[in-house]
Amino acid sequence: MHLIFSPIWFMGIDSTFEILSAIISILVGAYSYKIYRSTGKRQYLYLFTAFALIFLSFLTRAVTDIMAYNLLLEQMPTINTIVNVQYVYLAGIYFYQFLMLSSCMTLAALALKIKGRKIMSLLTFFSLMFAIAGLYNYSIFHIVTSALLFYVVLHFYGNYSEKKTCNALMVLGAFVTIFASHVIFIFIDNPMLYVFGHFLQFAGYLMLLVNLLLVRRT
Amino acid sequence: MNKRREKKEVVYDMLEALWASKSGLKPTHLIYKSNISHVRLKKHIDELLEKGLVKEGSSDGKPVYLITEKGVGFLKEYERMRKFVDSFGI
Repeated sequence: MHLIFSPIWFMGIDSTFEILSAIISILVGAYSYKIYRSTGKRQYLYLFTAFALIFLSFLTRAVTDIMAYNLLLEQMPTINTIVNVQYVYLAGIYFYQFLMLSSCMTLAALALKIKGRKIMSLLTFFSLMFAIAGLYNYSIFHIVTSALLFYVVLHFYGNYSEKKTCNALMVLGAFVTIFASHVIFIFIDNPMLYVFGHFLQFAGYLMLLVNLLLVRRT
Repeated sequence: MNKRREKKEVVYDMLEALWASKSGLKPTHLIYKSNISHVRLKKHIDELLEKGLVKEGSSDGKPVYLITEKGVGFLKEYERMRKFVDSFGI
C-alpha cells in the first residue's frame, strides 16, 4: 500500500502548512465561539465545532507526517521501521480523515440548514465509515470531502451573490480553493499534484485568515 | 413586512444613532432615529445607562443621551461580529 505521497524535498513543508492551517482554523473557530457566547445562536457553536475539528485533524495529520518522516529519514529503514511507519501513518491518517470528514459534514449541514440530533449522528456514522474506506483508497476520502465542500461552496456563492461584500467574497474564495485542493488530492498518487494541492489548500486557509483580519480591522 | 428586530439590533441602532450625533440626542430624536416606541426606548435606555454604554447630559437645558467610550467599544465589536456573520451567511 502506498503510504507517503510527499516528494522528499517537500517533507516537512507539508507539515508546516498543516500546522499553520490548524492555527488559522482555531482562530476562526474561536471567533465563532465568541459570537455564540454573545448571541446564543447555535449555528455559531456548530461553526466553532467545524473549525475545531479542522484544527484537530490538521494537528493529527502534521504530527503523523512528522513522526513518519523522522522514522524514514533519520535512519536506514529496516523492515521493522517500515512496519512502525505503517502503523503510525495508518492511525494518524484514520483520525485525520474522520475529523476532517466530520468537519465537512458539519459545514455542509450548516450550509444546507440540516438540523436535528438524529441526522447529525447519522452523519457522524458516515464519517466513521468513509474514514475507514479512505484507509483502503485515499481517493474515496477526497471524493466524499469534495462532494461535501461542493454544497458548502454553493452556499457561500449564494451568500456572496446576496451580500456582495469583500468579506463574503473572501470566504467564498477560501472554500472554492479548499474544494479545488481536495479535487486535486483525488489524484494523490502524483507527487507534483500532492505538492500543488497543499499549496492550494494553504492558500484557502490564508484567505480565511485575511477575512478574519479584515473583520478585526473594523 | 419587516421582521421584528432583535434586542441587540435595536440597541445597536440606538448606539449608532447616538454615535453619529456626537453632541447627543434628545429622547424624541432617539425614538425617531432608531425607529422604536417610547416604551421600548425607556426599557432599553435604562439598561444602557446601567451598563455604562450611554450617559445622560443636557443641551440647551434639555436632557440628551450621549454614547460613552464603552458604548463606542460595544458598537465596534458588534460591527465586527456582524461582518463576520455576514461573511459566512449562516
